[in-house]
Amino acid sequence: MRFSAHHAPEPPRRRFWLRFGLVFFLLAVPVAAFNLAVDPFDFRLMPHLGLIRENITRKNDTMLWAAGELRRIPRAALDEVTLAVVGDSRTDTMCRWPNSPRIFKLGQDRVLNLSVGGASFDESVRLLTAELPRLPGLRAVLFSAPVERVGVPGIDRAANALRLADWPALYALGLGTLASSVDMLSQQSVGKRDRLATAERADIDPARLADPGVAGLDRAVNLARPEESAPLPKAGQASAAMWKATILKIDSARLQKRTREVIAPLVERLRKRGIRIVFFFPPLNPAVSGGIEAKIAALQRSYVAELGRLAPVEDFSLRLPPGIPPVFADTMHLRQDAAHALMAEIYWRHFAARR
Amino acid sequence: MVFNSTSFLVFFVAILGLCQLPLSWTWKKVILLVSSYYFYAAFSIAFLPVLMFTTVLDWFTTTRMGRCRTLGARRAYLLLSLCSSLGLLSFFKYGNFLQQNAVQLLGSLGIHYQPMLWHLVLPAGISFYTFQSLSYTIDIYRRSHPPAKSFLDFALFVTFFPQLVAGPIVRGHDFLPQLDTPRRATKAQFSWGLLLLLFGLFQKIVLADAILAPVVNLTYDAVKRLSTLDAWSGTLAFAGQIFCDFSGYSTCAIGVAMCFGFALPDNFRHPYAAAGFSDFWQRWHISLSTWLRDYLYIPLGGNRVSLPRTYGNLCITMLLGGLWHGADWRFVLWGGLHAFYLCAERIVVRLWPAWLLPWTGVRLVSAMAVTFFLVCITWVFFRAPSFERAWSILRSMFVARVTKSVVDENMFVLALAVVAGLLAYQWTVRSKTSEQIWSGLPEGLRITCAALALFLIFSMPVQQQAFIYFQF
Repeated sequence: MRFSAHHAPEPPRRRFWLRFGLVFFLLAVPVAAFNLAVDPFDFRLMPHLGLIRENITRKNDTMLWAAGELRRIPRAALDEVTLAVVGDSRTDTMCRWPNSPRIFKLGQDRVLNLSVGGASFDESVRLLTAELPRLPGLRAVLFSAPVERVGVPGIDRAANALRLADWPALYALGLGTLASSVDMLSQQSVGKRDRLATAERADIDPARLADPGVAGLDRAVNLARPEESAPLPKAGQASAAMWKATILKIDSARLQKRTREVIAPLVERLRKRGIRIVFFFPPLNPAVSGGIEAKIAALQRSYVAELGRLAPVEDFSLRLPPGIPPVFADTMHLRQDAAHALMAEIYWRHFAARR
Repeated sequence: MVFNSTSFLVFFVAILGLCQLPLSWTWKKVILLVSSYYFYAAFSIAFLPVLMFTTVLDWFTTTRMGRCRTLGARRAYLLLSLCSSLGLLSFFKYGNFLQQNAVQLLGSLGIHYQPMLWHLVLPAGISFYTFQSLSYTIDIYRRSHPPAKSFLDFALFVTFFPQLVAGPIVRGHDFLPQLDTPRRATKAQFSWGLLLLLFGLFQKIVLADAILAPVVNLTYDAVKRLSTLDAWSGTLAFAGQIFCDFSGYSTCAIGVAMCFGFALPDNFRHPYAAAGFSDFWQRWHISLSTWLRDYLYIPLGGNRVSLPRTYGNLCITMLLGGLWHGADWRFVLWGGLHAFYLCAERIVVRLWPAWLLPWTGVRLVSAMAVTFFLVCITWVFFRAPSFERAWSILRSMFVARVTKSVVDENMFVLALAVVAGLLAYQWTVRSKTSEQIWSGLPEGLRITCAALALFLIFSMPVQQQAFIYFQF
């Protein structure tokens, strides 16, 4: 923008600012009213109209959906949280329970699930940092830090999601919200609505409404072993291809740099608050990691050594603990029961005994 | 605390309110100084002593310089100031870079030396306030301008919060006289200042962050080799992003200062409408390019020496200008490319036959298009995270390659529309000031533009918050 620094144009008349306010009002009010009525990310600022949301808008912005879920957790419940689990959809699978998608009880701990599908490492760090002040009782953090998440900066949707969660007026005015509102309404046709409603009902099983606790996780260990020659599932093949391409591009120097610049300050910040952190690498589907295990192992050697200097590291990427078979729901994610069992295993190893 | 944050809004309103109190001008200057230190501490309180040290030392050396009778004594104080200011800048900004290069150099000589890594953090705005303070010191040494009347005035000149972290780099002779008399924004200045703040935020939040940054990040940070279309769209989007980001910051800074009754110098004059590289550097980051001209290029001899030396001076100036942006060989190459363009332009201008395409509209548009194209090539090195990535992107730009796009189609169209609109706008109004453009618009259009800008600021999803030039 070019301007003459020493001369301002003639001052606008008073009615300029009045009309300016009026035009802004005319632009903002319809958008805000529409967004608040439809409420695509379930912020619940107004009474619900009975629309179906989750299976439509969650995929539009998983981070904003998560911000909405976190925003709805009562303060009292957050005060009781002692353990937070942070990561992406693979970690989310380990922690998601139908009756309470974000908070559950495990042993003596109240666990907050801060995992978000597709979250980059930086997004996870930002989300945890933003939630820390709301978690006075937090004592430990389990953080998913596999090489592909740490090695590549990735996108950052967390800043926007957290901003909208903190300032509901911005959520109401948002053009992103508007796009999701329109998308959501367009999918409320009778047939589709019935299908989505059935899917949502199926998710909420009244028999599982109690806290899972350790007993629930223990039961999950009774898992059937997969067939030896299980073919690569079709679901998630694109994610698997992207994952493979990412791994092949990462080098040790980049991992070291990211560990120094991103992870070390995080560990230090948590340590100052007396919070323990444990890093872990989620399991990889052998059908996907096949052929590049050597590359992964080579990358992890120096990385684990460096990460291990900061905090304990559990590496399940190529080897699961005994008793948990590698049963995968798709190319990237463990089946829910195996994922829950893995969560229980990590909990017993690192958190339960230290209370 | 950045301009595009709620905390800044509260801070700004509070300081404006304090400056309206019935206090003496000296007390108001104290309020501005303390608030500037608070503003800086909000970025990084650990580096506040560095800023204070630079201020105190340069005040001490310039005061002493003013009292010296001999040139030798003046020169000694100048040297002290230069060594300390540039020493601090070099230590914080180039410490890691020099250490890594020394290790590599020794390694290539067969000496394997592994020193403890320093992991230095760059104090916010150090490049900007160091250059600002240096310009004052050199002016006092040259006796081209009178010294500041008090330490308070000098400290406020160095730390005035609107321009402290990312410029414009203000000169003493522009700013210090404004401290002599009480400043109070007129109605016209205050309204215009608010509008500049609004349009600066629009450039930053809507254009740079929400529309252009996602395309740039997806293409430049992608792990795979890009298609030709993606490589070009990423580079064009970055050309738009860096302009909107930096120009947005400067516009905000000038607007905020104007609300307090201060005038800061221009930093951008429609740079993508430049017809040639001399013209480009008179339009892009003007406060830095004039600084380099006055304190480096001219003292080296400028263009009043032989032709080869002139080219040498240009190269030194641009290479150091590149290095000023960051401690990385990519920035040096970026500066080197601009030096090459400037030298080549001089040669072409000297040899250009008058009969071949006279200076008409066609030649002007051609010159603007060629300049923009060549500037875009340099941006690849500026943005790419490594040389390897830069070469890969350049290869994709110039060797046709078709693969699946990494950018969403809507995002891609929107980003290219913004860049095309930006170019069309700058080419149309290339010699007009913003005041002239604004005054020439019908009131209804002005109201609609301003209201729409405010609405979009609130409604666009934010992708990133830090200004690109904060890292320099």
